[in-house]
Amino acid sequence: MKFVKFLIAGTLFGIVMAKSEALSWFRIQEMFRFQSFHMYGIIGTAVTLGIIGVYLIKKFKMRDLNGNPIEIQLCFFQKKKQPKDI
Amino acid sequence: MLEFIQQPWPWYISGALIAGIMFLLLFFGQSFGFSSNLRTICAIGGGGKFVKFFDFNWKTQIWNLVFLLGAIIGGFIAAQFLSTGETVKISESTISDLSKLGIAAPSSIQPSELFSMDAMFSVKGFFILAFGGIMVGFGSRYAGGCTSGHAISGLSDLQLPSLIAVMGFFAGGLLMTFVLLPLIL
Repeated sequence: MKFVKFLIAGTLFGIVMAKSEALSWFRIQEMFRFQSFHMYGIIGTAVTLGIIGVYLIKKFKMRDLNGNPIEIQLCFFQKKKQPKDI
Repeated sequence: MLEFIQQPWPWYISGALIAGIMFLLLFFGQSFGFSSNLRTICAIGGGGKFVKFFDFNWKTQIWNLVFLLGAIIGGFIAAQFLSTGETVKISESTISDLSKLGIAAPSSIQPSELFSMDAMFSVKGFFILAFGGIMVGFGSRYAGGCTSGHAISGLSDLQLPSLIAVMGFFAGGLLMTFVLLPLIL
């Protein structure tokens, strides 16, 4: 049951990728040929809101559903960060 | 309302929702990064016996596989119930550029010249898909993330490695578009 929320989040993600056409090879070609703003708009909006949100999460030291401090963990960074951060 | 949803969504709504999904995962105690699933699947397949990179407790990553499953379901829902069957409205200049490469104007969301059963069972089409898959799998793991992990999560966290990775993805895309694709197609 604890995975249901991830299933819902994933479903929402799949719908967004399809409805935004971001998964279309045509849209990606259009982006790399600099012939439309569409993909840049999607990535730009997501990253701009993401930067603001992550800043606020850190500023207000927000916590997740389990009560742990929220931090972005990417496997690439985990390796390097752990010794220094602890 | 349904009519509105059935249209292709504008970039600002799509971008905001993608950021929203990233925050949702953060509040669930996880981080948005899609291609970690490739590593997880290799670990489930027993890759840990041969390569140390795949030797980890993949059970901690089940949530991401569930997220991946959801994404497939979401794509299906969007295609079956939330679509008017419209083609992708790319710009005229892209259509004309692609036609020079032998790719016809969009009649669905992906070009059938590359993504179809016919293409998959031709020698050339098979190798394009297989080689592309290997490059994506290797590259995203070598860089420690793909567009979701580095461009969305990493850039949101102002990580320099992510910016470098995204610049690399983009440079790779340009090289493919302007140099390799005309040679291959």
